[in-house]
Amino acid sequence: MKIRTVRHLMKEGIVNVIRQRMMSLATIFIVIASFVVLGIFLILLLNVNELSTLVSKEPEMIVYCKYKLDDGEIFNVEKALKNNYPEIASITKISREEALEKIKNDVYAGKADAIVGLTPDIMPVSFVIKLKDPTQGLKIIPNVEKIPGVESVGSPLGIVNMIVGAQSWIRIITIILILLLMGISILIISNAIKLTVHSRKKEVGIMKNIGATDAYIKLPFIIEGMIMGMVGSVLAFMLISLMYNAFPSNFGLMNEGLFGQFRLVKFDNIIKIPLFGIAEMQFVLGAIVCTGFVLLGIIMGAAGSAISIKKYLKLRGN
Amino acid sequence: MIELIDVSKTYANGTEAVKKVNLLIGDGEFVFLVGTSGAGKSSIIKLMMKEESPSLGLIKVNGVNVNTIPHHDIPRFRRGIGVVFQDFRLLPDKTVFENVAYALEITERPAKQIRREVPKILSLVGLSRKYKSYPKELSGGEQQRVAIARALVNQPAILIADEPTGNLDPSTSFEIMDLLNDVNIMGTTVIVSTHEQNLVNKMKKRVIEIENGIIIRDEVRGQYSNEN
Repeated sequence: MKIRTVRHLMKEGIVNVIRQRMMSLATIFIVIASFVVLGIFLILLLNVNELSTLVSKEPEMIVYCKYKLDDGEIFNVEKALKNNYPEIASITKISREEALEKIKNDVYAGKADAIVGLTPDIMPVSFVIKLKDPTQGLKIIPNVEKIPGVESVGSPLGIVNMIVGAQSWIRIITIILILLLMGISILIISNAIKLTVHSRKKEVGIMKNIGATDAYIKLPFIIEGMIMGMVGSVLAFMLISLMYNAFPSNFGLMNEGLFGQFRLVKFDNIIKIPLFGIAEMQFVLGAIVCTGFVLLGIIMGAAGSAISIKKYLKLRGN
Repeated sequence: MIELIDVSKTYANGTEAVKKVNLLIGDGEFVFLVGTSGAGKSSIIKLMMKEESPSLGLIKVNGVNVNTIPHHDIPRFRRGIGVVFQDFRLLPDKTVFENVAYALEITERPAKQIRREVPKILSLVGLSRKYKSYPKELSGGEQQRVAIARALVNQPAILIADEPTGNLDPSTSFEIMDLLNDVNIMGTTVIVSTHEQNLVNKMKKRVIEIENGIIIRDEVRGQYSNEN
């Protein structure tokens, strides 16, 4: 087919969308609905990913010494950790001064008045521990707690394992849902186009009678599907980003501890994508999601149309 | 030239529409296919256009074995045959000009050629001044003229008209028949299926009568029926 003809048929497709505007609107709304559900799951997946990256940066274990230990006793605790636990990869000591500093910066940031007069004495010495295999962490905690001079052992490993576990499940569910929704959307678009084709069956018959090829008849319908898929997905993206931005980025319930640091992934986040290890390209996350959405919409619209018009042309035989 | 050799057509529901038909229509002929509704006229036309495939027998159109045309070559084959129907079958959302131009567009002719050819053919059918009108703004006779213009614009060797005057009043029917006659004089083979007695009798052309899927009469300058 010549470029001139393709251009002409694209114009026909656009005209058809406008001419059959009620049908087009109905299809577009259906595309929006499917894509909004799709988007919600994508956002969930993005955030779970973000959360798991965040928790994986946390120390795997923190061993808190008793408050009143002297330097010798603290040394003994460190020695016991180093000598008896080959599972440990590294130990970093946090002195009383460093602990107070951290509290000032993390918990009481901007509220210096509340901790005026506090001295390092009230803080315990602690050891931040990285493990060779984090999955073994939960096994050694009870033994570490029994070392003389150890007050308690803090570890987010339970939560980390839970999130990592949930992440893989959410990923699987999301992929299944995305495929399912894509299938449903293709089916819906294909049905909507089938109605359009059916309402123009006389026209299609005339085209065949005067010698139009299948490709010539099909192309405007495919363009129609692409336009509806594109418009629907763009509107769905706008709707999702509006709803998402209106959502509080930091849940009140999760202000404490580990989750206190977590914020919802923002669409205007800059993300870096390595290009074959040579350079890193910077993209705005929202642009990537939007492009993906629109491409998916266009592909699904085209696929939906192609299926129904192909079936229709087949039904009409020669 | 159109050649049907021992052609039969039995539809999926068991109806035997065409039974062992042998027929030869030469280049430049004007032929009437006559017979009652359901006699098999439309089936023969569909077979000639490859809208249906024969159950048995061989069909040749313009030297091409229609039986063996691959699916993707059917459109090209159809462009060599102009077709006109009883219900005109114009595209309702296109103007007269666009309807005729459509037949050229599908063959990917340049816009310049389309702008040159369409007015010529519209003037031939006497519709030069109505090129901007939509089908619903035209009378039945005018719509059929547009359909004829569309069928002729690709300069086909054969023009098939299936009951072209079925929806028209008698005087308009005669006008359309005159137009088809003019087309024939210019060299196009014209095949008209009809059951309008007056038209057939007036034209004095070759008449092929079909009954129950069989050719029962084939006369060079025939009448609608033997009783006349």
